[in-house]
Amino acid sequence: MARRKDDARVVCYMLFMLLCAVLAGCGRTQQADATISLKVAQSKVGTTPVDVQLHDSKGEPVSGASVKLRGDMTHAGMQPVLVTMDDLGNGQYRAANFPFGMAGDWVLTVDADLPDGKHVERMFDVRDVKE
Amino acid sequence: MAVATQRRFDLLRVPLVGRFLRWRHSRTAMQTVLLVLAALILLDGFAGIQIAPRNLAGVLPWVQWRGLLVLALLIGGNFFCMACPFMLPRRLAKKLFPATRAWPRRLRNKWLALALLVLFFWAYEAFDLWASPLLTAWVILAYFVAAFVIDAFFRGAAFCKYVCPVGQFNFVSSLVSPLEVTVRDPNICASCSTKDCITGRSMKSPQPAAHAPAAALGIAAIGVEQVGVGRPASFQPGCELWLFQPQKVGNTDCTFCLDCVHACPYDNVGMLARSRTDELADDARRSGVGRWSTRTDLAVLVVIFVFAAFTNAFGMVAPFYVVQHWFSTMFGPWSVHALFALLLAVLPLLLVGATAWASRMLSGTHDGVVALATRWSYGLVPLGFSMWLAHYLFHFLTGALTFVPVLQEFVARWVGPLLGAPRWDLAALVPQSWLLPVEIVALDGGLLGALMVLYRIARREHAHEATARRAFVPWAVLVVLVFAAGVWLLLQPMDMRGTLRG
Repeated sequence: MARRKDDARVVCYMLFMLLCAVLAGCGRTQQADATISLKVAQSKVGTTPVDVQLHDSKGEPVSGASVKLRGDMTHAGMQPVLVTMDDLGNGQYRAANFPFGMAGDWVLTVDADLPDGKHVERMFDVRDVKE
Repeated sequence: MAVATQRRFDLLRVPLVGRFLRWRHSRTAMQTVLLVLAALILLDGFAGIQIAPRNLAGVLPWVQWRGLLVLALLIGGNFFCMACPFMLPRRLAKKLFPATRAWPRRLRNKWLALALLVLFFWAYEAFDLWASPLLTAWVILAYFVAAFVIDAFFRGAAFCKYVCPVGQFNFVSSLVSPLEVTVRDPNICASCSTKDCITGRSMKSPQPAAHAPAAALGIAAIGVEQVGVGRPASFQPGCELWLFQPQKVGNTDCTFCLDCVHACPYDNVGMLARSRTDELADDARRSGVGRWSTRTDLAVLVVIFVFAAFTNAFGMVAPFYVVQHWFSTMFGPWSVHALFALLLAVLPLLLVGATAWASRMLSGTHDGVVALATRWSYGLVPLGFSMWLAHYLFHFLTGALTFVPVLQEFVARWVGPLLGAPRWDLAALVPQSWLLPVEIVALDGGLLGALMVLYRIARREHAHEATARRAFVPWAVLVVLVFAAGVWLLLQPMDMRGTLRG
């Protein structure tokens, strides 16, 4: 009886694992409602302006969006940099003093809530930020 | 007749904690918790955001697990092998398959595990595992599959003893742990005829005749009282890593599974305190291991463990990329691999070999360099462990709380905002200014421990004190140089580059 219970327990564990592995195959995709381009003035430790250009699917600039910029290093264990970008108009947004706190590779995530209520997110690699 | 051991601190006798550890299902309970975490890591690693700081597969294994691992080894012992979730598929495998084969005799050493450990360290650098949740998930999945497959075919804990790279890291690190699983009173073992600690025992039918020697000592055989009419029948295995308790010395190959504790009918196995340096200078014949002085595979494992600690840390500081750039002018796209081979193979071989040669010349011994290096290498363990400790503690102390917002975001993505908005302001446990002193103190401890052990080895090798001191000097120079390199590393600016998405 105890042996059967033990078996059941181990089997349940493995089924759970299998379920997770199956679920893992179910990836998620994002709808691309807008195009975003990003430009970093200087890939250097310290503060630097970062500019974002936001266009809709017809290529028209999108103003009035709420745009946040997030900076992560590629290695876990560091606090991210979270900045709200200023709307300069004509689809241009700027973080005037984005801080690169450490040398290395970064990933910048642009997170935009568009005026039409839609949301779009894009990630950009910023390699080799130097001292 | 052996003298009974003095009373030492025994974790298994501590209220609550000891009771929990003595509970037959404590290991399963801990493994279950880690299994659930592993499942979450796999899910997020395969299907989540592929940025390590925002993924459970990027955060939990490389920040929290590594940090808690070295802390557990420093404060207690090999508790992570005790709680290893890879043992659950292993148990399933042993239920589904006969597992009657003996592990091949040619592979009953550490060479395979060592090769896999080197492969792991190489992959960590070559593929930036710490920056890739997807690759991390694949590595963890591979571990589960490997544990299942190997222990489905082979008897005992072959995966743990001869294959698992993480296990080898834990085994070497636990050589300086303050606790060991060992007998409480050797007199009881001397009169035991059943050797349950290694053969295991059936809990179904007590065997009074077998326990007669214990009864003669006035000791009730534990388990007789526990088994009665209506209680479930089960077999309690003995040590599956073939460590016979009365002849076990220290923590080599011990996974803290406590099978011996549960199997011993006299409750004569405990988790006792010990001096951190005793084991490293002891060349006694160890059950299931033999003499360290004859185990070149073990010595090489130790050397790799030590130099990998410094190589691993070097890979995260700015000067590494200067050196790598210089290497690329000679080796092109193979520069990382060439640098890795230099730091983890060529340099250790040269340094340890030269040190052993110098020690041989100064002491006038006629033993070969390899034999000498084998006997002395264990003295390097404290310094190697201290560098791992400094490195992993750095990441742990700067990012221990980062799992909170990552878990919040993970739950929000799969279920809903049950845990609230992610607290991305949570990260460090201690102020930044504490980090360097903590790391330097750790390295200091490692240097001190290494010097103490090496001197004890010197006195073991040479009865004449002056000869021992001469033999000791080259090894002392080596550890001081390696220590200095470690301090220099810790003072360098970090430059963390890694695999980018896609």
